[in-house]
Amino acid sequence: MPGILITANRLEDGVVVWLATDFTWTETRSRAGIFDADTVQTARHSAAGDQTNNFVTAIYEVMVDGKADVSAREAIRANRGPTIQAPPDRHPSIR
Amino acid sequence: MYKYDTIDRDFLDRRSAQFRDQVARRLSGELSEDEFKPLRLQNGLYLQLHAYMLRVAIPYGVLSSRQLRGLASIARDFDRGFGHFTTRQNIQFNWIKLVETPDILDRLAELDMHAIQTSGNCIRNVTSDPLAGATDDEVENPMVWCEVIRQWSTLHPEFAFLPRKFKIAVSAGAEDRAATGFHDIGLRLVKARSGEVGFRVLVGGGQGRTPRVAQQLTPFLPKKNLLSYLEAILRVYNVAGRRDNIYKVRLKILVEAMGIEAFSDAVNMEWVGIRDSVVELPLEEFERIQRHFARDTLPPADLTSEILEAYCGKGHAFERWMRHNVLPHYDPGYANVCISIKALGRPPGDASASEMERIADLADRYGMGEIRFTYSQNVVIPHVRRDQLIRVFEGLGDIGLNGGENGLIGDMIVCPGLDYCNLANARSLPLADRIFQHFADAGLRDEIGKIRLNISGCINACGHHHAADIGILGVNKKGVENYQISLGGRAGEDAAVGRILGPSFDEHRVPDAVAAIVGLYLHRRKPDETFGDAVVRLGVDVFKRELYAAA
Amino acid sequence: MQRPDAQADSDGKVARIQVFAFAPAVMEDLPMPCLQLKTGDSMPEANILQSLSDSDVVAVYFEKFSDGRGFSLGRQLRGSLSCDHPLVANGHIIPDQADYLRRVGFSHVVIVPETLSQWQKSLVAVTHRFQALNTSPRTRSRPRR
Ligand code: SF4
Repeated sequence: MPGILITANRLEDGVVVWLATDFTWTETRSRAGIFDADTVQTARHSAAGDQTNNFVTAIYEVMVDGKADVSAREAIRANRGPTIQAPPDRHPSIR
Repeated sequence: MYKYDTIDRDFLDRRSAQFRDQVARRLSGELSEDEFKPLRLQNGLYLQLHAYMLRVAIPYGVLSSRQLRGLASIARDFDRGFGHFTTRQNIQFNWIKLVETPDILDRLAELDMHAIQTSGNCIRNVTSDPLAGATDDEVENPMVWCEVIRQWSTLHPEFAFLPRKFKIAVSAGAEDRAATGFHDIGLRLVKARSGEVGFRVLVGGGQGRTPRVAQQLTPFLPKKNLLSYLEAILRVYNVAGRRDNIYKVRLKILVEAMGIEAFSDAVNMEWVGIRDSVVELPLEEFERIQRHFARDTLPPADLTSEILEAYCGKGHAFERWMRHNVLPHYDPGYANVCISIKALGRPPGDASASEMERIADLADRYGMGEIRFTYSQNVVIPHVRRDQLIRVFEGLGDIGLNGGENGLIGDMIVCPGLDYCNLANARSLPLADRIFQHFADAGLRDEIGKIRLNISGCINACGHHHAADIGILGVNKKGVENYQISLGGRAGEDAAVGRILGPSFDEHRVPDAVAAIVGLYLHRRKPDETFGDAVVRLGVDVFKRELYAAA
Repeated sequence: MQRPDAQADSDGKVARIQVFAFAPAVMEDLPMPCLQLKTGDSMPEANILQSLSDSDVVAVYFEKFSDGRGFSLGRQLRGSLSCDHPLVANGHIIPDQADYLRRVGFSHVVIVPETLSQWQKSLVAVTHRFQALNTSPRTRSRPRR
């Protein structure tokens, strides 16, 4: 079923968030709301309000199962981190 | 290195307080995102794929062991315990909170550091030769001029809102280790026949979508006129540079559109009005800065036995390291040690806090407490006594950073790519690892010898793929990560832009493609011919045919 | 580039505008600008400036605060054109640009009155200067006490 996700970064810490069905923002991709033609207007309006109120920034939409949604970019974003291992901080065993 | 005084420190304290006020005004809505963005960018803060990213300035790549330890503690306290070394000799942290940034800037200020002008449409951190002041092939120490430019460009009121970012590099060596040909302004210190030292000035270089090698604006600029001349160039750019099309806003486009002659005329028109005026650097101020870079007296070093004994005893790894990573110093009893921040299984350019601390310790114990970040995302400890190299090698071994990869195929320049970057088309870090795995045999890497393989995750070219022997560019092919390969780029005195070979490959096929190219080189090279020279002699098309023949 | 004629109001007095002055940092009023430039305009001919009387106001309009051409225009007016008229910045400018505007030669800026205290604050937030301009000295090399 086609639908639309709304995603953004939280202004104060930059963390990636998605708009949930209750119009709160969630850090978990699986809890993101999928909006259809009927609900998306209200969702957009709510999201835009949160941008105006300086809660989120850099809002954009992603079509569910669309090209963007299945892209590596959205997968990495949903994964909330890189696909490689950063060098471990082996603190402070060696000296 | 340059040491801050009370004026510099007071400046940073106020600047940090100013940003605290700006963050508060952003959060309250008094500043819109549109208005806040250039302010945060000019304090090094980007919004990236996962969070804010903070890029800290390492002026021309030079820092003290104390500063490096401080960066390690910032990585630990405000980030996830590691940092990423960039091609502009800076360091960036990936998981920064906007609300905590003023605290980080305060911490940086305590270290005499900052993030000013590491991004945004302004004059960026000036870059230079990582061996500056520690090599004997330089006309004079370029760091003096880097510091002059750093101070002059800091909060320059006329140039804080340029059409786009503006990069300056300074080199003074016979070998150009600062890629001056790929900068908006490249300054090469040269000696005239009269013996006078001045600058050869290049303009309009850059990478990105429209890669251009800089053209010569003047063959010789007297040192005393540096600042007025820079102001004249910047003003012409600020006034006449395009602002309407993001792909056409860099100086290289303006220089190309006007032609170098007309551009030069425009610069000279501005210059006559300000040359030898108040904008020039006062002599006393020049001398004050120059004093900070006077050569230290190095204790005499023992040139003999221990080193050789150790060499024989340590076998291959140490020999490789000596051969590739120990660089000449102006004092034959000393060396400059390059630490390869690249190894199998680690993302190029990333270093953990504990690794940074260990490097700082080694610089204190065996160097002069000074560290350099390089354009190729490595680290140099300058001024190491040759008879202590074995200790440094062992110390680096404790943290797995004693690979002798400098300049070899594993020493890739790689941008963060899609793993971190908001603008990326494709990942670059995992691809680098795949390629490294393909050349996992150190003997093979030695046999290939000097080669520059660079990877960028998109056409912005932060990974300098245009300037690589083998350049790899991430593209988006119908939503799938793909990679284009180019050949024949160079970053040095004879800078050149690489040529794209043909259709792109998916990530699995890139290592084989690279292997095919390298294989042809090994097959066809003449004795002692580097990869780059072989490409020039054989021509790119030979490689192109080989690469696509199999496909 | 326009030359708005200073308009007389019903009392026959010349209309004036409210502006924030950089020195001293207070609100003032000035006559309407006699010469209104905008970012992106080329430099006015020298004889246009010469035709103005000393107290006539010159203004530069910023369409967008991030269009830095206005800063170069300010310096060029003060520099090669030796303009010594009151120089007003108007249009979209933010308080955080106060010191930059002052240093390239602007003497006044048109502001929203409610933002006065922020403008005053921004003007003195960072007072260190690492360059000498035709209108402001370098403080970096001032002898230290
Ligand atoms: S080259 Fe592209 S993907 Fe890589 S860091 Fe630069 S902008 Fe990001």
